[in-house]
Amino acid sequence: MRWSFPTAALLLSVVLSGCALKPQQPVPLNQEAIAAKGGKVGVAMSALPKVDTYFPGADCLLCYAFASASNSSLTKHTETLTRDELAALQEDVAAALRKKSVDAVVIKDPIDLKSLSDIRTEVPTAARKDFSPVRAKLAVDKLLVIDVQQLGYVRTYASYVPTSDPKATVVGAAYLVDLKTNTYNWYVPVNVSLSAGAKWDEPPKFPGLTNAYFQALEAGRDAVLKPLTETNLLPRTEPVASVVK
Amino acid sequence: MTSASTSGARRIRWKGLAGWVISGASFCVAAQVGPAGPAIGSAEQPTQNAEAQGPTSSPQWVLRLPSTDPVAFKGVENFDSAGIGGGFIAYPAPNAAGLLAAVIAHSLINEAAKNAQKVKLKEEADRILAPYRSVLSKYTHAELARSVKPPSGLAGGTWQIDSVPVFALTQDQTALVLDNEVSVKASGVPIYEGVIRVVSAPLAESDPVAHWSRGDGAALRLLGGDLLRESIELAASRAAKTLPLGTGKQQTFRYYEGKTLKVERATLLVDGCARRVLLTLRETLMSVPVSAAVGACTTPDTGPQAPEKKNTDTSVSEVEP
Repeated sequence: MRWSFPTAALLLSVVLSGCALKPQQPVPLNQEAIAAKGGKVGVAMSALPKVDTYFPGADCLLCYAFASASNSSLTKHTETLTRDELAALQEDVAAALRKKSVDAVVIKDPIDLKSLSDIRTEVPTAARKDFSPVRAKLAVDKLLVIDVQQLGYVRTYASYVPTSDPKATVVGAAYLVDLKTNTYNWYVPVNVSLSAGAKWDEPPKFPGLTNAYFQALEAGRDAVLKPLTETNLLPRTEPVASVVK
Repeated sequence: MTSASTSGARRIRWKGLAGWVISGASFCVAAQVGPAGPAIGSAEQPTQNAEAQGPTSSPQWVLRLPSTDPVAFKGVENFDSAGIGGGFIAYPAPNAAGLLAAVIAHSLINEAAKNAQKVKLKEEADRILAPYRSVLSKYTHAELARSVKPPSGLAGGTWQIDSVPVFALTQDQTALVLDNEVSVKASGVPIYEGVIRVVSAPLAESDPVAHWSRGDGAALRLLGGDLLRESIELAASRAAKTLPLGTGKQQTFRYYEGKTLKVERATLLVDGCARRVLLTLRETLMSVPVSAAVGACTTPDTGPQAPEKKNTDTSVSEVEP
């Protein structure tokens, strides 16, 4: 049997798209889950990533090398930026929960999410990691996870050519897992992207972009903290990114 | 932005001693663009005479605003959505030279597209001014200058302040933001140059268009004058080194620009009851509103507030570094 190229490409795309899971959609905070008698809540945080530069779209090796070289002064500048505001988020979340009379404990050691096995599911509230080992280890009923995956500056490329100015970015998610059922009581994606304004290319200190970075940290913190401190929550239907931009 | 040093000249002169001479008669539109000369229009004759008296212990002042009217206004812009997407591009490249040519061509097209997008974003931001066009078209620098009072805290000598103010209205139309490019010279020697941003306290009116338009834009003009006065005062204080230097410790500050919560990484210079003065990472000065919710004040300062009502919902909160 001979396959024509279009047929083979179509078949391949069908197979590959069938493998892809939909991104986790936001889950509104279940207020009952953080009620005073909702059980003990552990607040965990994954290890914060290094503050860095990201160049999506510079996909080929030479493209990435070119993008990396042309933004080297900005990358060097990221080494001077602190992450203290995000590091304090774990304690701040625990404090917000305690204000609601929740028995909250801070899990000091960073949680290694990669060590947990994946669960493939399309159920909107089903956790995509198996947290059962955590339940046994930490002796908590629920686990609030803060997972920051990307921190620094993002600049989009079309191969060798930048298609945007660099923007400060904080990408991650925060979620509350009921460890008895391994389901989300809350899931909020964080996708902050903020520009420096009209002027950004100011080496070596990049004051505009530095300011945008700290703005992004605050926006990321707000995205996590606000739902926990609001009293009358409305169902969240839009990604947080559209709110914090 | 036009450089303050080449801003042309609409001048107001003051003299020290018992009081400052400031009135409509003090203004003069100079034809030339450039540094202030000793002689200007006849309307300013009384002040010229005062200036010609020679050195005194009290300072003599010249404020120059742009010679072209009306006063510059724009809408507050947001470039967070700027960018034209990315992705892999397969270049038609038969050889290395062809690849280079293709990349350069792509880069030029891309840069033009990015610039066009920024222009479009600015134009979209400026649409917020549409209801105020007739009011703003009649707002002259001479009128704006009338609201400026002599800055305090300066020693004797001859001082020249060049100012290029640009006002921006927030997209919710509840606040004005002034970016004033200021340079200060003492006896011809530059001693301060920078952009000073002053953010007004938000307006609590339910119909901002009606509020700003009423009385031929009286409230808008009043607030514009207040913001300019505050910026000139800050520039003069900085030039005279009477403004506190601050601790040098950078912190993250929150304040409201209209109804929008904004964040600025800066050093705190003045922690007032109604306003805070910050030194930004660009080492420019910034005056932002503080709400009454932050704390009780025993000696309220008088910074630019939106006229009439105050919005107690607005707050500036300091985030611990």
